Amino acid sequence: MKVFIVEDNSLTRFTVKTAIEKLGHEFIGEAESFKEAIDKLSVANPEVLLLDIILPDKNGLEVLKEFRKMNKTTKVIIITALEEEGLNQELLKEGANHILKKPFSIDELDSALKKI
Amino acid sequence: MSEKKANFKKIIDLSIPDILSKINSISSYKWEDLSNEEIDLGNYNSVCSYFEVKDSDYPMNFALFFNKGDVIELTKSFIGYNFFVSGKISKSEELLIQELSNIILNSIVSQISNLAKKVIIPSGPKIIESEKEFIFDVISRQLTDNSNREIFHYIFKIKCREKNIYCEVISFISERAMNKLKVLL
Repeated sequence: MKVFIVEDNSLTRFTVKTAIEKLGHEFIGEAESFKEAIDKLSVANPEVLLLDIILPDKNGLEVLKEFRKMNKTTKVIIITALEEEGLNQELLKEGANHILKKPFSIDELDSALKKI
Repeated sequence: MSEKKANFKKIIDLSIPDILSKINSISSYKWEDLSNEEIDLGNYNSVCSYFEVKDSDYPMNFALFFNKGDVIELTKSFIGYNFFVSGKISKSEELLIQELSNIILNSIVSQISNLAKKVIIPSGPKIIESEKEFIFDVISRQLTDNSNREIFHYIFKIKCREKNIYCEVISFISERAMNKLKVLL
């Protein structure tokens, strides 16, 4: 699958990129902020979007809402260390397909990619 | 201990199992919370992760302080080695402190969110390197517009192999937010 990641921490982006490739998927791009994400996602056409909730300019929920206006088909996996029931419900309502809790292992990432 | 401080401690107590479970799942060392004793760490050279919560009902700010001298041990506990010898923390150490403090802070904020039944999303961490008291002073001055902030303090003492590592959490929570939380606790 073609995977794009939106995450502010470059160490996490690098680690996830390595894991994605090791799992046999294609890593097609990355962004570290809302603005960069929306700019790049208007051109890129990922099959899976890995989306962090905490970003430097706006949050991942806002990225998700904006992204869903232009793309209804890409599967979205939220990656977050927040354990908020209300947030999870809102993310699913806004079109997230899965919520992956940080910190996660390569097996958990693999399982999330297979589930969606 | 005042009632408000006791309430803040309750929130921390609710967060601790989640924090330890998450950190232990990624660290090669066993982490335990040994925070029952009173500790005064005084001033020290610190690495601080600073977070803001810009929520209309629950405006809060958090500063998580680690002793700069503990960063080598912290890095070893997560990635297995640390070869850096510079006096300044490296970019990878900074990113690691960001993720570690994210895990701790997000667990605390999630407890508040679940109590308040409200989505609360904190900012990402800003890393500041300096003496703890200097950083505390700068943050306090920056918050002067936000009157009625109460300061709560908690020290996580974590046994990391044979070494005790401390994470001081200093939070600035509005009186209104604390009063709301008091009803919910």
